[in-house]
Amino acid sequence: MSKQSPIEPALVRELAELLAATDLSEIEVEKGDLRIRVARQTASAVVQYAPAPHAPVMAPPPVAVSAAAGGAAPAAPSAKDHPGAVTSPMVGTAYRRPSPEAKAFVEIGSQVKAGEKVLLVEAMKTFNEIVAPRAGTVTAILVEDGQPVEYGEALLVIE
Amino acid sequence: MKLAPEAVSYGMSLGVFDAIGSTNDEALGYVREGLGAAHWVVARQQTAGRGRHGRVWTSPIGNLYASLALTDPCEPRHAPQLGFVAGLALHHAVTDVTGVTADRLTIKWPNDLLLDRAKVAGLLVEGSVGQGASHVVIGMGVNCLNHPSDTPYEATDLATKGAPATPDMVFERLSMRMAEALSLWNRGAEFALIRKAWLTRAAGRGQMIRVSTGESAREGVFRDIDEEGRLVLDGAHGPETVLAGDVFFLPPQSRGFSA
Repeated sequence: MSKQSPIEPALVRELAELLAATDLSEIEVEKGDLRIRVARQTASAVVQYAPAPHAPVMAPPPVAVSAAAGGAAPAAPSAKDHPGAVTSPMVGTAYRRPSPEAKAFVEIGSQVKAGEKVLLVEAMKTFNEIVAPRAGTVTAILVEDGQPVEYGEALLVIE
Repeated sequence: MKLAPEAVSYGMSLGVFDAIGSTNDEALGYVREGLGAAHWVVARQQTAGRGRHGRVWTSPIGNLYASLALTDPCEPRHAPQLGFVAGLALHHAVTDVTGVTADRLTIKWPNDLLLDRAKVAGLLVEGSVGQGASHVVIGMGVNCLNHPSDTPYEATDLATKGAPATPDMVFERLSMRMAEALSLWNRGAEFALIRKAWLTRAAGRGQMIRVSTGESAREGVFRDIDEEGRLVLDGAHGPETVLAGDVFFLPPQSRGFSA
């Protein structure tokens, strides 16, 4: 969401309130050329609701995919706001290597070219390769192999 | 090997190879170069066929190996839905050409096709995000004539099950059913329709399953898939939603065992 813009703050506020009231994680509206998306981060890859209307809503224990999350994200908390941060395009599981035995795509200090593979994010057997949006040096890796990631979460930093 | 008229109308194009490393790799390279928005790569055999996590997909002559590459099919975060779109299209296509009924042919979450509970077709969806347009490639392998015998999950083929069909027959119908399913899905806006049709063909709904994710596993009753396609199971501690893993069906008496 840009700071100085033709976006009406009142509309954004209204959407944000609606978001909270409905327990949604994201709302997107489109009006003419204007498109606004208001989103908030949920706690983890575990979805905290069940679609079956009769199902009791309770906080589930961490699912298996989050098991590897324990010791993850050693990087500085400010890294996610870094202008060079590469974010996850979807909710999923991040992998640092193409297969369990293979070498990691990149390490801290790796020089990457624009378009070079840096990570994989899997969701339901869909494997998305994350490519470097620009050339540079990998200065931080914010995820561990097999870690669940949220939509928009910073994965690594390229400077 | 040819496209159905409906696939041509949709704007699909086709490249056929006698042998190739991986149809997914070829298709991804094709769309990256901007050569077509919906391009199929089909091979008579693959020399480096791949499955999940770099697992080998055995690819001898006689089976179908087809990959559909799509340029900007949807917002990247909705791309995982394409596995369900393709699974449904594959189910339709195999039903159409073999006549096997829905009680025998089912879809195992997220998107393997089972015939009499053995794997007869599989999918691998791969995308590329981060620079310019996003691309998604949907790779599909259908065991028409051969199947591997050393897989962790039992495999079969159409001929073995008395439902013979050639790769050409399956592909032509698949191209039509994919065009149809993509239109219905409407870039994710109508995933609810895909989900509904998918659930009526789901294997093991209401049964005990184990979902293995490498070093750990969850068990519970397979209840549903949610509005993004995630697996919902009733576990020992209530409903749980699972994003990734290999599903195994368990005998009913194992209910209560906790992983």
